[in-house]
Amino acid sequence: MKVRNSLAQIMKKSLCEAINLDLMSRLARDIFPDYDLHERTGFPPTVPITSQLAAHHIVNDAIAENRFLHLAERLILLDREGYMGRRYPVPGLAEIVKQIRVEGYVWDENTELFMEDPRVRRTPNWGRLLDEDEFRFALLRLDVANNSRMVQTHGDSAMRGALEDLRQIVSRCVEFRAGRIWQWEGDGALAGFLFGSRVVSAVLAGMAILHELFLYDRLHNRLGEPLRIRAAVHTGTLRYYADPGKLIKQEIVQETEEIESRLTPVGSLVITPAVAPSLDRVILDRFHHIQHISDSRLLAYEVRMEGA
Amino acid sequence: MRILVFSEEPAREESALRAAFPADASLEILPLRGLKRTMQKPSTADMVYLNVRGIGEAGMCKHAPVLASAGKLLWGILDPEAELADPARAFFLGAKDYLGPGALRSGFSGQRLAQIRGFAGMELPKPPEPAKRFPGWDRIPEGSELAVRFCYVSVGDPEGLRERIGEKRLRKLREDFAEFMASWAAECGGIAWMRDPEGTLLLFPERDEGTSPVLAAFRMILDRALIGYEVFRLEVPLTFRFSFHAGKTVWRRPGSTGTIVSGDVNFIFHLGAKYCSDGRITLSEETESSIPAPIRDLFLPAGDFEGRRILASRRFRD
Repeated sequence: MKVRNSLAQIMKKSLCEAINLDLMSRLARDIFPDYDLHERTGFPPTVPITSQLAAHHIVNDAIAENRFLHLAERLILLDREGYMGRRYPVPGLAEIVKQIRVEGYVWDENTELFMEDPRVRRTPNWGRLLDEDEFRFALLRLDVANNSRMVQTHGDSAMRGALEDLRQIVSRCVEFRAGRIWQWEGDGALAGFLFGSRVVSAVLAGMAILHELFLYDRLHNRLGEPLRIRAAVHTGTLRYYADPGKLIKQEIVQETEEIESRLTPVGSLVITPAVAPSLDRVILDRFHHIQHISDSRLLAYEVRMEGA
Repeated sequence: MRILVFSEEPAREESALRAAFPADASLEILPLRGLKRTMQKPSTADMVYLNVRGIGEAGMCKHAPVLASAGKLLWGILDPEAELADPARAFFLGAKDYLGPGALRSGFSGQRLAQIRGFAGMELPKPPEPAKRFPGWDRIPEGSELAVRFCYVSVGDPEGLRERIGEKRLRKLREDFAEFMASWAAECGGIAWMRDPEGTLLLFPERDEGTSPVLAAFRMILDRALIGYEVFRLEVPLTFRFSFHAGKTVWRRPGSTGTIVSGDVNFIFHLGAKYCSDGRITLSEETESSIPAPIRDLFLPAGDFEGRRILASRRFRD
């Protein structure tokens, strides 16, 4: 994120006025493990550092290492929750949040993190995640069923067109719910959800994709047979990497892929037992146990019409 | 537009041929062995094609006379693999069109059918009178008689909702729903016209102005779980009831409709309140043509109501 000088100055001033040097050091270590003020300032450990100098270095280091938003988030939480039972009102916080908003970032109450304003831009890391940032994500994985046979039957060109249509449908449904598509590989996609009610958003995006495909098959599909997918939603802790190759090697992604490819009936969205507790009853009731797998704890949703 | 194709292997050809013809065309791919029998009856097809894949020129020469002797029938040759060394022979045999690989890739259109009719010396079908564009609700003179499509919409299962969320929240939900439906109607060129305690009466121009309201209603019922949860923040299931009817009324602006006397307005209120059921779109016969062709098969006859034939959409399972 681009940090204007005026914003940096307000941040430095707020830090100085809100907390003492000791707490400032702790705050810095939350963002940069092993942060040593003396080492950063070049002052020997015997020489005291002023609050102004400490704030100057912490803010400049946060900007240089792309962690300014992380610093702002810590300040907001400090203002709201205090530290060790003591309150620390942060002066100038409203102005900091306002100026961050001007730069195209909005505060997400659910995660207590800033994310890019989707009206301004949409990037795979929501404009803020860095490699190895670890969070609890919800994942939506989907794949076109019988893709190889369909390519053989309809030819490359016709299938390319249909997959492009699918891609647009998935992008619309995922990004509308603050998710991000991390990977498109041939006929399959992986999307991540972090902000808002991430699990609910992933599930609703999956349901919306099935609805859109139901209409697509009737209105726009020129293949002469339905374009059917398998989709699965799972949740767990994941390290973010900008490189999708590194991202998909992690256990939680592998599990999601496994469930989608091996256990999901064609035309269905499946959710795992880790997902179900986050869903309100009104959504959960739309899912049913998968019939062909005995004692499965997976639940499935599909579009079904009476008399079909 | 109705197209018949006679093929040696109909199942194999189906997907490729469907891609070549417009999605709204009625395309029937029939086995070649039934050609003679089918052509003995008068055909209502706009165009009949003989697919020469697998039968080549010899097959064409064998079967073309059956088509050529079928009166005023327009027929042509379909040659997806360019098997005919001399496509002009098809025309010598009486064909009026030849669809080779290139033409199939470009796709068949209504314009091509018009060209075929012209080539066959048939009177070109009169281009339909350009439909008068709807002037917009603001420009209709107050008190003038207007042909419109009516749509009465309400939330489904009101008794169940009252039990689950209480009278106060149901009232608020109905207000929010009416507001939502007003902008929904505007996206389809319509307007929210009147309200009663249960639902809203929307008006749409006689013909679709962009999005079809019936299709948009169908989409809303399909998305009912998402709309209930994401738009209205309800923790209980929500569904809708849509009724459509076409007729005439005197135009008064919304809010000034108290004195309107119209049989069609009465009918749509009755249809919506007394006949339509949860999760369905109910239409009078006057609005049957408003159902977009790709979802027409999802509507079934639903008896008669106040002397009119009614159709209703099939319901999605919860």
